[in-house]
Amino acid sequence: MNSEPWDFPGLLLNMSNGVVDMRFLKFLLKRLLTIAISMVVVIVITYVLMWLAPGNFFELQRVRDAIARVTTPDDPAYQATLKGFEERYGLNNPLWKQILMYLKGAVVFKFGPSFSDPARNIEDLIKEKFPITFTLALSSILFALVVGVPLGILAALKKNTWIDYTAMTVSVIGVAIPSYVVAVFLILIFSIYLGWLPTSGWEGIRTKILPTIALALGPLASVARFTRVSLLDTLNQDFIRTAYAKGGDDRTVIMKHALRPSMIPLVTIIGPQMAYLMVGTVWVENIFRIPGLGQLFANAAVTRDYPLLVTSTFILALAVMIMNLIVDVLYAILDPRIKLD
Amino acid sequence: MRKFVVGFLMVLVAAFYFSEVVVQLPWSGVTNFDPYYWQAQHILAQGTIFEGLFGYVPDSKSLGGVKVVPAVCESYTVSEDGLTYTFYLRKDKRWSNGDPVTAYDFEFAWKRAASPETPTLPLWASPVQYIKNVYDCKSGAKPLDELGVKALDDYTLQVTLSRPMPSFINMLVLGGAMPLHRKTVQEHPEDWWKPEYFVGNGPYVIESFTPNYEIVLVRNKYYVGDFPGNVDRIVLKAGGLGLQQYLAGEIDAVFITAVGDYVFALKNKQLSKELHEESGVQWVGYEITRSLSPVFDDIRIRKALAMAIDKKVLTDIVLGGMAIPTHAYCSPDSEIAEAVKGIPYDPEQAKKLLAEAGYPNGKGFPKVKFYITGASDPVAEALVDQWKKVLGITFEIENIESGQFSTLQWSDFVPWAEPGVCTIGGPVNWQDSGSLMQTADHTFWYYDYPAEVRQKLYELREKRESVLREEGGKTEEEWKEILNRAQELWEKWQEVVNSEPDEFLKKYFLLLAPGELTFIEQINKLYEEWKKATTDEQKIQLWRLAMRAIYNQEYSLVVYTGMNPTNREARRLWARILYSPYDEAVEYAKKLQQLCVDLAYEVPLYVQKVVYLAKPYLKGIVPYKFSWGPTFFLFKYLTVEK
Repeated sequence: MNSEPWDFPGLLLNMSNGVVDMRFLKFLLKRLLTIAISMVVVIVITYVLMWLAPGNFFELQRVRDAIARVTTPDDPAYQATLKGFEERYGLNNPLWKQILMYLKGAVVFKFGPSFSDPARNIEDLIKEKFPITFTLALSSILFALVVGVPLGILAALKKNTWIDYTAMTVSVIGVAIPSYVVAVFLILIFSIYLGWLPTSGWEGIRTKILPTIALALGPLASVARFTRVSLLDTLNQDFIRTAYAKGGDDRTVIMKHALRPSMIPLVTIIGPQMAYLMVGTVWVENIFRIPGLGQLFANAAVTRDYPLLVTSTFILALAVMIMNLIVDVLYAILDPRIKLD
Repeated sequence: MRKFVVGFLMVLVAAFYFSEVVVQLPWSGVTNFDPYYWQAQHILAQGTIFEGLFGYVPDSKSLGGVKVVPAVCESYTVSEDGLTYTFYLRKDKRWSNGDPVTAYDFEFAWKRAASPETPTLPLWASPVQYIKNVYDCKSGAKPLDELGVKALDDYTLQVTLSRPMPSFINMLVLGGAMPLHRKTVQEHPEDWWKPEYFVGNGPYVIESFTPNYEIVLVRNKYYVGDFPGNVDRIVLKAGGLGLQQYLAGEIDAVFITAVGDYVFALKNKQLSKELHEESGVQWVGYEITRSLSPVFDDIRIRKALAMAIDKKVLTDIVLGGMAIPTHAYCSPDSEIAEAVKGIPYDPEQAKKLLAEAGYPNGKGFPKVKFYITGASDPVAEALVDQWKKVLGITFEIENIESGQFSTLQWSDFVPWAEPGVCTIGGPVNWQDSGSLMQTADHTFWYYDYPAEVRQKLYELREKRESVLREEGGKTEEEWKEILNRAQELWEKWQEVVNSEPDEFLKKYFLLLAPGELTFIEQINKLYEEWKKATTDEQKIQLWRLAMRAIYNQEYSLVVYTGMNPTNREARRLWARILYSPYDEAVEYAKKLQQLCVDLAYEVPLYVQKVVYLAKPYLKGIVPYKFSWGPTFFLFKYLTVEK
């Protein structure tokens, strides 16, 4: 492969003596720099898009709340409110200056207040809500792995039997049905007809079960399919045949030899799945009334709350990029071929 | 053994008598508990966690289903010129920490709202906007001491307004009029509203708050006054699927907003018994687009359109029964609607009128449009269908972007619009006199002129906008010219004012500009400022302001010399509505709504229902119907029957 060395951190990771190679640090630094530049690009694009989009927070509020009736543009009450609003948020500055000011704040993770909640800073809101969304996403991905991997293995081992077909049909359905539809069905069945679990909330373990399942079903299906395909692929390889030839039984060969290499492709999909999950939380949090980031961000989009909207894009983009970085590093650790090369 | 039994019985009795009554309700949109922000907390502030000088009590016939009555205020007097209010406060009211509620708490809160240090508090949502010198205080030009509010002693509050506002007391129920606990706000200026610091004077206080999740309210043990309910603890839950939470028994009442949910509840044996329906406050209908086209100038055409509509089809079929037809610009069961006679559904008469106007069976009728926004508008489709069937007129539905659509609905002239109609509604924020017309005032502001006057007004408006991009006023000569022109306009204006026989219109409307100064005072003030100005930028800015004032004055002149007689009559009534106490204003609103209905520029069609489910043991629910609603409020009425 003609790739630059930093594309393969595994080459640079000297795991045998536990010491991190200098070249690995260089790789890391380079990736972090790329992330920083990408973040700037993301913010600029978001700002320009918002600037191009018609309608703004103030106008929407004005129309909805009938300020249009009590005030005319020359009305002092309207003028005073608008002026205070613009000054507070620096909206009277040109766009480039607004972007620079935002970037300056973003470096130290300070985003100022949102339009709809002028009394509190966005970073405080995020600090308050991030752990909730993170818990939800993490528990969903764990659930997806714990259930998805065995399901995939089972399907692979019982290839072309009814078990395989059932498992794969279920996983196709899982991929095809969006989490918010699953969520509603789960609520109907488990909360209303059976009455086993609460419909919503975020206290104690019982409220967390349904949202975790609803969110996990999509990734679970992907994980199961990937595991199946990957395991089948591995089972066809020479070293498996050798293992059998050496007299290994099914259990030993599969658990000791086939499973680990089959898991490597899984790592690559976990990253994007995690990002996909973050988006999925917007729906699931709204349905299950979970006070996380998803709810906050959804509101921002609806009300054109620009500071919050930019920050939500910022946080989601950052999450995806960091996730990808982690996956790259993990990939190197897991794949023995890359390491030994 | 006997001891044990007695103990057990005592515990049982205690549990029965002292068991907490908890009600769980849906509620969302609260970001903090500062009542001065125009967020959902202002509803909670109105008589639940705060109590103003005045407050709402339920009253089904009034606007929004509520009536304004004294709360912290015991009595009040108004000076003869209508400018000075003196409020005498009740002496028994307490904050939730036991401190007495005094006039100083009101003074402090209102000065805080007028302070330059709180730029994001929306003044337009607070009665503070009517207090003398408020804008000078807000901009920092005058010290806060000059704001027209002063506590004369612990229980006497004196307020001076910048101009008469007879329904001022109706604004004193709003979140933007609440007293604040001085000590707490001074100690924690940023987060005094957090549950750990919060001190309120309403029947409930906040026990805990998780944003976007849950608010827990408990009784304020220091609350004195009317408390009809019996609920000790209210859990307000934000978001989620309301109906499902209700079905699972997690909340005790819920609003129904989707037709699917409504039909489900109606068909379900148990739920249909728990269903409550009331008419909402916002009317919805259509209005003629404000293009310069004369197509709809003929009243016969406008009436034909209105008569061709079967509102029952709209409300029962298109809107799935979640709306009620209305003939006036308000809920059909309100006292105003009872006095107004609507345009009846009469297809034959509609056809006849259209033929008289020169378009038998719609033949030769010009191309017209029905503007909509969003994915689709079933109401628009139904209207277009009815007009096609009854009158033979084809409205082409055009979908435009939401920002453009709001311009179409609210701007005075929309030159890019083609002749046609769009939907319009009348949102209401609170119950002052000015709210009584609910957007029906478009009729006399924008429509009721001869075509050539409308053209002239449009040109003036364009000039007024373009002056913001022009430069001028750097020399003394230019200003002399402005002053001369202003003088000339002012004299002509005096003629208009003097020839107006109606005292109300004359006194309140024609003499005063929207601000605190008359037109000529404004110009002179700008000129004085110009003389002191040092930079070109400042000078140009002042010149622009002066030119805008001139165009505004010219605009008024054209309006009052060129309007139709019905329009003049409408403005007289409007002046009476604005400058009468609320109860009298209602009487004038009946007449003015009738006038607007008859002109058929804006045609009311229906009012959305306010529908909620409540468990049978829950009584005393008061729905809040104004902006930010529907939701529940006035929680002190909530009663759980054991």
